Amino acid sequence: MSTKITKGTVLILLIGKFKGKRVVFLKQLSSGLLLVTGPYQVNGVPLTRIKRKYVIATKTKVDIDALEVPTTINDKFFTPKKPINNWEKTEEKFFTKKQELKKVGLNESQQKIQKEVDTSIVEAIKKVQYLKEYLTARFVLQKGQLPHKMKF
Amino acid sequence: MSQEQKKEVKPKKVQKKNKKKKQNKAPRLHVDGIFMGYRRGLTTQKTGTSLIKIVGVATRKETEWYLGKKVAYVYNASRHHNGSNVRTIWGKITSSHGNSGIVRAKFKRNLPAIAMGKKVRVMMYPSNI
Repeated sequence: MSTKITKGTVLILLIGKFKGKRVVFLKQLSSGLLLVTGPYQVNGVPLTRIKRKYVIATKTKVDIDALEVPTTINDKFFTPKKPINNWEKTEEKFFTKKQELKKVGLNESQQKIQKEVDTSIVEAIKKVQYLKEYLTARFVLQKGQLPHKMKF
Repeated sequence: MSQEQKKEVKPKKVQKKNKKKKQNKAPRLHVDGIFMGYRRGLTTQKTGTSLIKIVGVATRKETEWYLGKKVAYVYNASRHHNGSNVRTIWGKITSSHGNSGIVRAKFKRNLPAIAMGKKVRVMMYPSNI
């Protein structure tokens, strides 16, 4: 992977619900996707994974070298649970709505892990002036701004 | 004194309007371009390849950054489908065209001729920055 993206690098998301948001890179998962977090308290982005090509790496870095990302956060963490055998015939299926099955976001146990990871990152962010405001602000192309002339 | 009073009255109204507009607008993460036409010689045009003029790009060297980037032609239709009548034709920038910053793009479905002169969105992905 590119040498620019290391633990703590601030990335700009270009696609998806959180496009334009600046997030902190944690690690590359075995599937090749990048694991990032807002942190959630700062800009509302939970632990998510994205592809390298939908991200712009900035030179800004958050000092989280000491942080050890728990190994429980891997690709399986993000895949939904397998349904019960013969799901179609069970009474549960009759009562659950389609929207519930397609729930996006982290469940309660995952949110706990999210908080654990985020607390040390938020502490590191507070040490640098303006870094919290930087991560809260969204990246937008304004009139006259051309990405090929910008330095990230 | 009267000039100061005038300045005080006007900005309040203008500020309110601007605030509302800013809240409603989605963040722009693409560069605007214009669909100039199809690749062509004097008498024949090849509709498989479109020519796009990206705003602010004026030399062949500047187009390097945009090669490979996705492009979208966004348009409205009268019929709603999946809750929206906004439709897109996706494509990507394949190469530069000439020396003045024009770029060639290939779309999944060829662009309709009605799109000539209309805006096209050049995305910032796939990115390798």
